[in-house]
Amino acid sequence: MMIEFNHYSKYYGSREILNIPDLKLDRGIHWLRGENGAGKSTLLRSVAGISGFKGTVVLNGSIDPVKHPVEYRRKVNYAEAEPLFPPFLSGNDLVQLFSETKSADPLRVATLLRELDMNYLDDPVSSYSSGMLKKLSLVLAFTGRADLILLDEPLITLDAAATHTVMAWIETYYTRYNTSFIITSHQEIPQNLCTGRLLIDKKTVHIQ
Amino acid sequence: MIKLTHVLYRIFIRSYYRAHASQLLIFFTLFGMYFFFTPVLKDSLLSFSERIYHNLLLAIAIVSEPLFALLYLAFYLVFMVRANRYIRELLLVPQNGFLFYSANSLAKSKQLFCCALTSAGIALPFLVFLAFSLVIALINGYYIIPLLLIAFTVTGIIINSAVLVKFLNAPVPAVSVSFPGSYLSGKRKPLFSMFLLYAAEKLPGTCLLSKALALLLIFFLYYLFGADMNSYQFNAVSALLVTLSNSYLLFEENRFNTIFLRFYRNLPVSANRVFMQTGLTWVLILLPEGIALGSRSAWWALPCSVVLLLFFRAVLMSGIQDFKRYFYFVLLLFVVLFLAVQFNVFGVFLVICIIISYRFFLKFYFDAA
Repeated sequence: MMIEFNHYSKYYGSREILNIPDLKLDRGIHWLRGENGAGKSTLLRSVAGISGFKGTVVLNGSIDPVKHPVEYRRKVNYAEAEPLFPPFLSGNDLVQLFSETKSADPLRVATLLRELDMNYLDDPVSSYSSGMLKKLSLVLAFTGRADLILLDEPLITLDAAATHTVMAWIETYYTRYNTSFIITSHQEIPQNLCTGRLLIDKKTVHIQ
Repeated sequence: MIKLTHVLYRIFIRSYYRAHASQLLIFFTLFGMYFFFTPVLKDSLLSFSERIYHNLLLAIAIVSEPLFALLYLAFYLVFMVRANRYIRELLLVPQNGFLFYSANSLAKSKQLFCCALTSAGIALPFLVFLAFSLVIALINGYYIIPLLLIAFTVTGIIINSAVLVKFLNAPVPAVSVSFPGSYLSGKRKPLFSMFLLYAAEKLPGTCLLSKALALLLIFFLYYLFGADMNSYQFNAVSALLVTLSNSYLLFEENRFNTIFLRFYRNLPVSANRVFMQTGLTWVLILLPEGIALGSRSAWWALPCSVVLLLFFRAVLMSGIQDFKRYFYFVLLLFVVLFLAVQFNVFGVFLVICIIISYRFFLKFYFDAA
């Protein structure tokens, strides 16, 4: 069992957004779909430990984001749909910060940067285009030794070459490093990459 | 054209008055009070017309005395330059970027007209004062200075609008490398330094105002009441005043963390460490006040202020997100803590504050919406 939800619910004010009584996901690449506003990003933010929720989420059978906050966050990485970073930081500052806190292998990080052709990391993020920012957030999500990587709309604003590279990373990390993925995307995820399909409908997650 | 005026009104005029409500209210209430009615002592000795003349002395001075007229125009000039800068900064916000490829499709003359209406909307308080002055000038037979005032005001609006139209029709300027970005490139930036760097770049005015207000209040407290207070009271009241002066900066710090450091909550860094780093941020922000208080031997005021600010911050994290509610909360707490000083229980309150702020921080750090 990779991740398990028990009596999970998420509210914004008094409005219930999600309610997942019981859900178990095995190791794999899970494509999470749903209409706009269904709660996909909200769910990913909760699982990433960025946003609070009721109930429990347990990783690998024992690691809880509330009881083991540091260990959990070392094993769960996340790339937002519309990433935001302090405007004065450079890409290098962020890569160094994530490498240090997520105990990343410097060689692997250098490979990620080279494969996405990111030669603009000395500049502050305020000067990045949305595609450049997206590439940076994806590199940061693949930095470290995560058991689970959450990718919220990873393909938007990426060019064709970068899309191909990111798909290759997903496949490599899954097969070589046993990393699982939950990916939200309105674009089709290739059949060979997708081991499970999830749908958010009527405030809950259904396995298809 | 009407649609564009409406959009510009919604984006710029409304947000300008919202963002500057407190400053405008204080300035124009003070100025306006004396402008429309300067109180006259022993007015029973004056005839009705003399009394009216003295009541309107400031308005009459502006339309009759070149020096006053110049002062008035200098204020107007500063106001318009600041307003222009505010509009241009707001234009560069990503969600307003659409104006660069929609508003400039109109003929330049129409753009100029819409921008002039926007500038006039922002300069409305000055236009009201001007209209009132002109009526008084006509009644009292002054013509040359009022004509110059009208010409200068209208020219100011036209120039402001022309600058905006030019800005709107030029290519979107590239983002320049900021002060922290250019000088600290490649240097390590720990968590406690993040808000300091952000404030240096985006909030220099707010920082300066907070520091100036805090130092001014400490100065007045020391020279007006210093002799009547014991060390405990001076430390405690100074801490309260420093906290109050920095409460808006604290609101901005919390907003910065919520928006730009959201990603940090996914990093394997314990909430304890983040709490300590936040405390360190505030120690550094309050250093100028700490030095000023230290020079008056009030060594305890700085740590007390840090504790109070951490408490305010914890309350902000727990769900108070809009400034109005936060402002009422700060005022209420100021009164409660001031009473605690009077009844010699400030120390007890501080211990409660640090416990609550730590518990709230642990509870809400990973629980933000």
